[in-house]
Amino acid sequence: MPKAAVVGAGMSPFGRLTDWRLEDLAWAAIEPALLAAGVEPEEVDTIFVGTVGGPVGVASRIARAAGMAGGPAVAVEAACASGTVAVKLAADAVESGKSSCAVAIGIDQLTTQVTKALPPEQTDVEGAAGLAMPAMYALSARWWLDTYGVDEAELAWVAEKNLGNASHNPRSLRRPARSFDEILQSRMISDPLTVLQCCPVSDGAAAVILRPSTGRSDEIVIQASGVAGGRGWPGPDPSAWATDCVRRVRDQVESRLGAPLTSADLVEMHDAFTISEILTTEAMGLASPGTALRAVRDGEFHREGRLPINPSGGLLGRGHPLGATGAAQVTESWLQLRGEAGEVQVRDPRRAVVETMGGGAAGMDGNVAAILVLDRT
Amino acid sequence: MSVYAIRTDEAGLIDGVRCQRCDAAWTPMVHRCPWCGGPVGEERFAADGRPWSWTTMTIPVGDLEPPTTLVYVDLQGGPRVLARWVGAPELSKDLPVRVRVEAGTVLASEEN
Repeated sequence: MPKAAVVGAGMSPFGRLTDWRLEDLAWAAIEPALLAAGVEPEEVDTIFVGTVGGPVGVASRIARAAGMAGGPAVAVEAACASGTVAVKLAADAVESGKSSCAVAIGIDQLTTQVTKALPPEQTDVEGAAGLAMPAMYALSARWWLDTYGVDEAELAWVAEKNLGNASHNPRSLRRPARSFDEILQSRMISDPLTVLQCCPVSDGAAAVILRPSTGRSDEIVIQASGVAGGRGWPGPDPSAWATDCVRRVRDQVESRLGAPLTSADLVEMHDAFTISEILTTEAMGLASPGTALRAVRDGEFHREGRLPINPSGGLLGRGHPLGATGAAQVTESWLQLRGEAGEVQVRDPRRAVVETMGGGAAGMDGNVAAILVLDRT
Repeated sequence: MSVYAIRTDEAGLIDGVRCQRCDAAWTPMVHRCPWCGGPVGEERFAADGRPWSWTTMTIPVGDLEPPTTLVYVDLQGGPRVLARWVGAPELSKDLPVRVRVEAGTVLASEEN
């Protein structure tokens, strides 16, 4: 079976787009993706829409307005990983021969639902206690810092790197760059995380078009992918929240790839908070436990470093309209592999890795973690 | 009280279950082990333990006005539970703490 090739990708603006119709927001991402792919809407036979807060029938509404109605159009909810899982399902549909042209769309309009931090789910025990997302990550941050004897101020290096990258990326919401001191002195949200260490609430959409690989050179193919569900946490796993699922999906993908994820030339990962990037870098095997923050500070993961992580600016820069994020990460990676990433371009990349962890259900080590490996053939 | 809340008995012990296969402890009750899928047996856990991690939120969350300090407590021989810190001292990993449930909310304070 041929692998799935990403033949087009696009993003809407990211920001406060409360007044936009859902269909228009989606089209702002779909149209450039169709144009890049040279695909007419009626050629699309399968649609997966990754969204957390979308209305009932979200996939059908988008398909109708985009002239892609008729094939299966299905919504996928996997918290922050919704868009990534949508791309994975679309790629699987193409790879299995069931689809000759599939579209994955990620979309959310968070500003229509919340104004500050995402509220916890009240039917969860931890949600009822008032555990908002920044606090969940802050708890992990305190544990990691204590365990490895690292000063909490050091976390700001992650935001300094990613906001620095974002300042060169016109697709990013947060610009300009911020200094280490500005990041540390910004408003405290949940200690040790200040507001510039938290991704901004925003709206946005991204779209990815997949077709069977033709085998020609210079295609961008999904070389390997994986999804792992979380298991119970806190439980037998002694490590921080939402890392066991990332380690397990890493194992899956490395086994399918026949190579470690360190073979990547760039990584777009889920840095919803500064500590997320540290925990994920270590869980993906890109740095040994306790060392990721030092590696960030030393420039190893900068755009010119040994392995650029979030050269786009990541979620800290782009904003994080939950479902849109995974498809946006794929779009940024696709642009990089085509050499079209502009000022954030990494030098001649051949392999990009996208990782997204979606979590929030109480008593779970993340709901879902997904990894996609994109290769330029 | 929410049907999802953690519950205690008259003696203040925490209702939960323990996996008969991997020995993991959980509260509130689940039907099978969320870690390994094994069968579980009911158990009551001691309400005292040590902090695993904590944070103070300086933003409002729902009806909660800031600041709110949340602490994960590793119960002695039992599961880790999230509680609102209502104690006096500064939290540290070796501070003995005790949890209780009031109107469905898990509260933690230093041991007397």
